Amino acid sequence: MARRTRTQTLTIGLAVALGLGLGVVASEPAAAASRMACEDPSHLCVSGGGKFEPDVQTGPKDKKKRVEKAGSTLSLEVEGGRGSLFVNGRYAGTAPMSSISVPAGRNDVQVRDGSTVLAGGVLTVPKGASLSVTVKHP
Amino acid sequence: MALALPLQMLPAVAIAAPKKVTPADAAAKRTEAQTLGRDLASADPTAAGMHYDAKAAEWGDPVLFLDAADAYLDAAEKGSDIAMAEAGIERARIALDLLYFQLDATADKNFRMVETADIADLIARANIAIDRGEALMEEIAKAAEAATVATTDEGEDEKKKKKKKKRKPGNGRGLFIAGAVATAAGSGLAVMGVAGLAVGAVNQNRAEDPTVYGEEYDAVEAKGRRGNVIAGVGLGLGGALLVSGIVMLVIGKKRMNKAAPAQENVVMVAPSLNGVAISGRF
Repeated sequence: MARRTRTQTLTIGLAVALGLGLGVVASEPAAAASRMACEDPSHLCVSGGGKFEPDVQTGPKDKKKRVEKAGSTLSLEVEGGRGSLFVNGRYAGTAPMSSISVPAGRNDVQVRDGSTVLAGGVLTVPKGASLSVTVKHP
Repeated sequence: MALALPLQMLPAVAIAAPKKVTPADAAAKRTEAQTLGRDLASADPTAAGMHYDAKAAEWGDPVLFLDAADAYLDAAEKGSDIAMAEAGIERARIALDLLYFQLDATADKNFRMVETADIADLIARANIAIDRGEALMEEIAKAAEAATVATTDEGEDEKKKKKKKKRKPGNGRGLFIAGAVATAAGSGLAVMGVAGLAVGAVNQNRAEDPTVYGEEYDAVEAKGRRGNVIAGVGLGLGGALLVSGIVMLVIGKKRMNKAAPAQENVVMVAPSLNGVAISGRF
């Protein structure tokens, strides 16, 4: 009787261990996918404290309020393709880019691949922030 | 080799460039870059591409990116380098990004790299560069594939050669011995066949004798049949063995004769107590 109980305990233990293991394995790619994927309708996701408003442009006041040397940086990644970043009407670089200097404040940004605009709008950059921008290529 | 100059290394300073840049300003700056670029291109297209790359990124000049694309594609063609072709295509695409952006409403009106009228021609040039790059990549990949197949074939040929080398006949001694054995066995069997024939003939004569009949006749007939079987087997098998043995002997002897000169006719001269000793093997 005692032997049977021990066998049952061992079986349940193995099943639990296997289940936990499979759960961890299965949840790992899902977690990575949720980290990577940008599901925002604007096709642009930003992390690190910034804010993106699609399909709008800055006004003259925003331009005056920008702080050029505020130590703010931006990194860009384009999911599923390529693209170049334009900040305040000028070329800033081509993805992937890491830690390029950007003015603090409200900035006009556009990411495009040739004639296709992948994302465009106003990106608000806090002073000294390090933003990570992910753009989804359609 | 990865991209000649990784995109991350391109200085992204266009946003920190002068407040106002006209196409004429850009052209003047570009001319300097192109002068050095042309000198570099003749000697080392990759170096020229990297030079154009760095200069193009300073202000985001689409023309210099196109120059970089052409230089990288030349390097790809020269060195059959797919990575260079990819770099060339990417630079042409960056040029397209810049050219289309200049037509966009959000582009800085005070920052113009080229005249708007020239944009269509430059877009066409970029597309030509992309097409050329893609064709080059295909060509290089095909050539690499063909080279791989050729290498595999060469390997197989070498293996076959090795196999052939292994099969290379020896000095014919083995064949000669086998021939001798076969001839001897064939002769034996042939003799046995002849004996069988004789037994058959003798018993045939006896069987034809009218005084032989009944059990005696049956015994004579059985002996005669046995003799005939022995004659058939002995002559047939023995003859075949004899013929093949003789052929093997002849071929073996020929091979031995061919192989022999290297081993035979060796004359050795050595000093001896009385003078010179000459010995040899003929």
